[in-house]
Amino acid sequence: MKPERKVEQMIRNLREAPNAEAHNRILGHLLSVLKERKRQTPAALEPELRRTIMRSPITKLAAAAVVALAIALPVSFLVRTAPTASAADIFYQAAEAMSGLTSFHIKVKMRTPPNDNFHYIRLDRDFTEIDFWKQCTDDERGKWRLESPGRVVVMDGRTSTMFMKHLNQVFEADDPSPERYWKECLVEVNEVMAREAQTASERPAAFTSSRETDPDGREMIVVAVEMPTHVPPDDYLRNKYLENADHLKIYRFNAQTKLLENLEIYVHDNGRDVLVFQLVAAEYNIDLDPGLFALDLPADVIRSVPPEILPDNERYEQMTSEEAATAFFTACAEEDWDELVKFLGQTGVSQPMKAYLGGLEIVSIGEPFQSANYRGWFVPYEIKLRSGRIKKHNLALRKDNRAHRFQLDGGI
Amino acid sequence: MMLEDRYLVWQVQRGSERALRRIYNRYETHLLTLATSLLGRTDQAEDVLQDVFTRFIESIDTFTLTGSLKGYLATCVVNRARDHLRKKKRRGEQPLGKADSVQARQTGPLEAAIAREQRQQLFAALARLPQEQRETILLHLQGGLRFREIARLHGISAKTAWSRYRYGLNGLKSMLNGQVEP
Repeated sequence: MKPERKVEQMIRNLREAPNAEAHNRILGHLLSVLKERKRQTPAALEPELRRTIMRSPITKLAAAAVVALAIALPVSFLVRTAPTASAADIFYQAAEAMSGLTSFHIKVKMRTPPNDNFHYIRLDRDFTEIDFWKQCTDDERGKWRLESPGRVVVMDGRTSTMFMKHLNQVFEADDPSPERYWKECLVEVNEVMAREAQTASERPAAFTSSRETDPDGREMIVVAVEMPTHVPPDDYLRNKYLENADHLKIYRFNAQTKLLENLEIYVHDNGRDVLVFQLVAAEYNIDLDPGLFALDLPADVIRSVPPEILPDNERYEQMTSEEAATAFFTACAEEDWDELVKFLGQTGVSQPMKAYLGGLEIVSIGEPFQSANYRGWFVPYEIKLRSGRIKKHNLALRKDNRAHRFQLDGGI
Repeated sequence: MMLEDRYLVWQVQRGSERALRRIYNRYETHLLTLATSLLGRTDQAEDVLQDVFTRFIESIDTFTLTGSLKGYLATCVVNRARDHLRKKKRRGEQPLGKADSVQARQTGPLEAAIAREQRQQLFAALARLPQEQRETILLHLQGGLRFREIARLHGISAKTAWSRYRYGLNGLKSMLNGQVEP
């Protein structure tokens, strides 16, 4: 290393750790300053949301216009009204309210295949129900469970584990955060709100807020946000994930509690608005069964593991994605499970997978392509399963792993 | 994921002690290191740290975060440390404390002792740099500020900020010759 770099590194690595006495003394002083300030100006510290929203006649008119338009027009028109700068405040209030929760259960429905990735959307599919449970704890991580008919993820306070029921396969993540599985995951609902607040402060024109009264007479705060995508209309991954779709999110918060009561997400697709996500129920501060945060796995479960370096690794490293797809399906056709597992990054091949893919016939392998910001390749294929069913799809393969070999990442 | 600084600031504006604790805990070590590097004395660095956070709370009503909170607080530390040094100079005191005023708080095995010794030498070398070079280096490497941000802060061009950084780094390299040989 060059001496200049070494000096830079030494300075970057400098750490003057505070001693406990100084830490407590300074922090104690700062908290007393904050308390004193709070005592002197309590009104300034707790601004009424209504006052924030309704502070100018123009904003009042804009809010009234949003309500009127919401009743009269399709959802795509909802955000085409005057923007309001208070959306960030609304989300911050919501984030704060949800930071104080002890537990919650949120049920949503989403247009996604029941066995697939949580965040994978399919506009032509029926709704699948997904549940989030969270027991908040002092260490901020909490314990949570995220479950669809085909998958369940449990975070027990230390690690998170995903069990893919139909494959009898388990995946344990180094990073236990729910974002690992689903960026929009509502398990960290206060974090989602804080992120929206950040976006609202940076791009206020995309947000519109208003008030409405629900059928039970409760006052609700409605925030609509229009999120455009930069993915081209003809891209393979367009509309398959929210970030790859032009979409509209409509949040509804209880005006009293500031808690999230409803969320609808519509994808704009060829002039139609498709509801892809809807919050069905939200229960806050409830008693949760501790058993929710433990996962009983079958004894013969298959575990995901990082791909190991093979004795003949070089041969696989040199494969193109098309060659890797061919080798993958050939192993299935020949029921050579030892060979197949080299493409799977797991401890074995599950029985359901063997039954599904064993003895298939390759009809065709197409030209590989890339899409959106996905770091792997898609290889079009057509196969004839043992059942006689013809399947046409794109095999997702990626090789950004320690063995630099193509591994299956989806598309089966 | 850590909660956003902007959100924590918003909470402090509403009187949240928890949010203040989180901000303080997040940046305490970093800012204390920066202040100690600038002043050469841990006790004075602690005073600066307390002063910076006290002012931060007192001005929280009108505070708007436009960049990173870390960068903002680091800039405040540099400004307060500079004031501190000016006052000392006016009183006829030696502006920078001796390196041995950086308290050695830990005892431990030989490796720790060597690390402490190297750290003391680095603090001493920083103390011998011209103030503007020391500030530029620390704001860039400890505060994470870009040269154009440092330039704006000091009222100079980004090129001058970069030159100060290079000169300062070369000075440190000479002073720390034994430690940084390739």
